[in-house]
Amino acid sequence: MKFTKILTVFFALTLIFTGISSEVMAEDLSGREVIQNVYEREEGESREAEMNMVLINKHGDKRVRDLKQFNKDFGDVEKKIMFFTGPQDIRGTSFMNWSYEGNKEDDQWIYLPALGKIKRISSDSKGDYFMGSDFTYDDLGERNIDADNHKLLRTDTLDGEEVYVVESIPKDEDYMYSKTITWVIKDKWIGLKKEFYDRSGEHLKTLKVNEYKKIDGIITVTESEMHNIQKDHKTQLKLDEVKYNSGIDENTFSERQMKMGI
Amino acid sequence: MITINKKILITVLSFVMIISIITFSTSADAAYLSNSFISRYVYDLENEDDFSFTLIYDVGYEKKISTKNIFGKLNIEPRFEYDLISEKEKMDIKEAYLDLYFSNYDLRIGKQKLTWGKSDGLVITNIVNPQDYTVNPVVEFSDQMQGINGLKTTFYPYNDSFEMIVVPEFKETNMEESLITQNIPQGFTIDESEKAVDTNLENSELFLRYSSIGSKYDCEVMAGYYWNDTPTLHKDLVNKTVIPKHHRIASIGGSISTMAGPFILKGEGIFNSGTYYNQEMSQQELLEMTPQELQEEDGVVEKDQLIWMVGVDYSNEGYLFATQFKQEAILDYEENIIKDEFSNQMNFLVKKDFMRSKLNTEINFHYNINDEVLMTKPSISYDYSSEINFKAGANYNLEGENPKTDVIYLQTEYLF
Repeated sequence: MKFTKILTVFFALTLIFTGISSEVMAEDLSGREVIQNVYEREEGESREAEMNMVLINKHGDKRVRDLKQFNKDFGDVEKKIMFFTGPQDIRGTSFMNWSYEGNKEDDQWIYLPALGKIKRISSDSKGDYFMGSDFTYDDLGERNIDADNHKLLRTDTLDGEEVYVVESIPKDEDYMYSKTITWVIKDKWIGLKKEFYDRSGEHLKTLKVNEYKKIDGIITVTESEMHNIQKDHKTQLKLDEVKYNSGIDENTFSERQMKMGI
Repeated sequence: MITINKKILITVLSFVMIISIITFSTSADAAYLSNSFISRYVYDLENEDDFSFTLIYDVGYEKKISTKNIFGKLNIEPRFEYDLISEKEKMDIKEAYLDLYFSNYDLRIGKQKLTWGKSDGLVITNIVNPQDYTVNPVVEFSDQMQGINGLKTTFYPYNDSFEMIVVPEFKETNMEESLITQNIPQGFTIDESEKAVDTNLENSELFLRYSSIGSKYDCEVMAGYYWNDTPTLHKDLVNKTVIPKHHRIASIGGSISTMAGPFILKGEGIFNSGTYYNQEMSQQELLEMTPQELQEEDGVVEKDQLIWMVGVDYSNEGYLFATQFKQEAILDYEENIIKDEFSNQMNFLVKKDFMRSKLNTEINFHYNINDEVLMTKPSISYDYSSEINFKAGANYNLEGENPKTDVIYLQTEYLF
């Protein structure tokens, strides 16, 4: 009897302290600080990778997109260029994005071999889906940390990892998402899962990281999947041949390279 | 286009395929070979009859060259066509060139197509390749451009590019014979003895372009010294003949595009020196001429010309709306010139993709304001898979008279 009481008290205390310690930890960092750590995570000065994108519809039919991507941070501007290497119907197409510090809008260009010229396209429609995938242009780019109000909801465990759960509500009411919730791995500062809610507050899609590894000393997401819950289609992204700080030349992000391809 | 024997066509086709298979199976770093087989049925809406039913086989052969000192690419794109209705076959090389890449300049030699300017589907500064107006329907914009044999050198100062193209062999616009014959006055015959432009260094065409893309705007500045692709119809009033002649044109122009929120603003213009126009002469004027004046008069006048356009693209909720206004102005205009002093036209395009970009729809309107001719080109395409695409569309005249036949087309494309 006495032993049972002691055991009950022990479990009660354990539960209380677990709760407190969780609260204390959660209070250690604000939601903004967690997201800031994600944004400021070491990503190298430059990166190149081969990307395989699989678009899966609700019937399970698949379409594949193969790309080679280069990006480099030049301080005040981050430049990214993508070359579509397959399949044949989109081969030779290239896309370039220059993303600036502050509020300046991105510059974007596309090269379509059938037209034989480079066209500037508006980066204002960041809500448009990228090449028929479930990723919008905005999902693939970096978002300004001050564009949202971030709130730490709780700490949790996901796939055996301790995570911070942060809710981000955009300050712009017209933004395509009413909110996002991100599960961020403690100490690694990787978003392991992210839920996107549409303008009416309904759950729209979920991004799930399926694999991450350390490459050149940098934690890199190598496999992820975006699942559109409402339409039940998915896009799987897989990175391969990832190289950091490989000395990508500035001329890679140019009109010449867009036309020349890789 | 060269019309060739069916047996030769089949032999060439088989040869290309065999070589391709051997290349693929024996070489790891290989050439890239793309094949496209298109069956296109075109229905004549005016005569309510078959217009054409063409089988098209496109080959794209690309071989990278990488040695110790040379880095480049060989690109060859032959096209074979067979029309089941007219039972005619054609073979054409769309492009066939060798690119050589150096640290800060490139060389391209061979048959090539180049697109200049910021406008879409308009010929303003896009003057390097002559047009082929016999293509109907125009399913791909590049089908209407004829490849030219030339040497292109491109230098890359900073991240910009400076292009110089020398075209030693002149190629004229390809158009229906009826378009020329309808401009021949009654009782006149054609004398084509002065039409040809000999291929020699002196008759070469030269084109220059400086192009830059940047954070604020993209721009191009171009110049050209070339032959007008469409011949001017000179008249010999004594012998009652029409003499088509090509003339030299010197041009300078440029284009610009920039982003303003959801809008892309575009502008393009060119000044052409040495354009020729036919003049109208009344019977009275002809009667009042002395025999000497009659001998010297060729019914043509030389003027300068200015062509410019403004356009805007607007994207919203996955829709693309694009509109362009183009004007051609004859400077120092004379009243008896047959063409209007100002020729205006407008384009309007709406484009939208559905089903995660599997279904692509667009409708294009083209309005010739002077002649009050309104044309529309709707099209819809569906990517059944990465290999199979279905497309349907039309070239349809809604108002006024247009020399091109109204058609509707259906096509299936198989990529392998």
